[in-house]
Amino acid sequence: MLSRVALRSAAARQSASTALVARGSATDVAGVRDEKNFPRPVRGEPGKVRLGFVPEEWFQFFHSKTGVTGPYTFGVGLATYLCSKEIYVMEHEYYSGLSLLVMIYVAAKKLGPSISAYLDKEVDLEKSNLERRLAQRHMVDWIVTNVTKAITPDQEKQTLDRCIADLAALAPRN
Amino acid sequence: MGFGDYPKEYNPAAHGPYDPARFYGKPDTPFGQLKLSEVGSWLARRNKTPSAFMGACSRAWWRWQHKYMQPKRVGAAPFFQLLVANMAFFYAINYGRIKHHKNYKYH
Repeated sequence: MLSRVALRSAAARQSASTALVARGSATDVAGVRDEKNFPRPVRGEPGKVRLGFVPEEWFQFFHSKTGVTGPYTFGVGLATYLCSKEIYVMEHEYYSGLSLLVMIYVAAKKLGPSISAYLDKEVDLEKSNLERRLAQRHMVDWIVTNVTKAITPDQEKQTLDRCIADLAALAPRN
Repeated sequence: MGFGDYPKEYNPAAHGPYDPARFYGKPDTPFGQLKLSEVGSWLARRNKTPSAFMGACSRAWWRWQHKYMQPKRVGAAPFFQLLVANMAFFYAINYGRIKHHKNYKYH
């Protein structure tokens, strides 16, 4: 479990782009791992948004046809149409929604940075702890295996002989 | 294929770890790259069973999850997206009641 977390964080560090774009074609030969069309999913950076929630891609879709102001013009035009024809009806709920929107906006602007700083700190701490734990475990394993490897049969025999000699020396006293 | 099973095209040996956002079947031309004349035949080729529809919805959900909800250091964007989607959904299901609050008879 821990090693999998470490692997994933290592893999995530390598890619900077938005993740999980690979949606290749299925030409699977029986049993052969198809790394080209089905690469291992990588956890990436969050998708970009504008106005807090609208995907950046929707704006990019307009750019080649209408320029950079096109998507905003479209949005305002659509809103005007919906309000003008009263497809979007402004009843009492609309005004309570408006006041909620103002409250959410202020809360996001005022509290957002401190909340994100707190959460980031938490994550960084957890990650550094995990990395240290893994490194320590790896180091201990390495030392133990190397020490056991370094003990030659000759040394082992010497130690055993020495022990027997000590025991023999102790025996008459009792 | 029952409930909770992997798609039957998914082959762990070839595809590696399962990604719920990925389509493992035979890929067709993406909808965005079609010519207008090809749309009809493209629609005719689609698998329109309920399970295929559920699969498409599930993949879309996971694509959204991977892109906005699951990455490292996400902001508030996915929560605002959920909020807006919910507002639109509830406006739609309540439209029958809301429309009586119109201020004008003719537009």
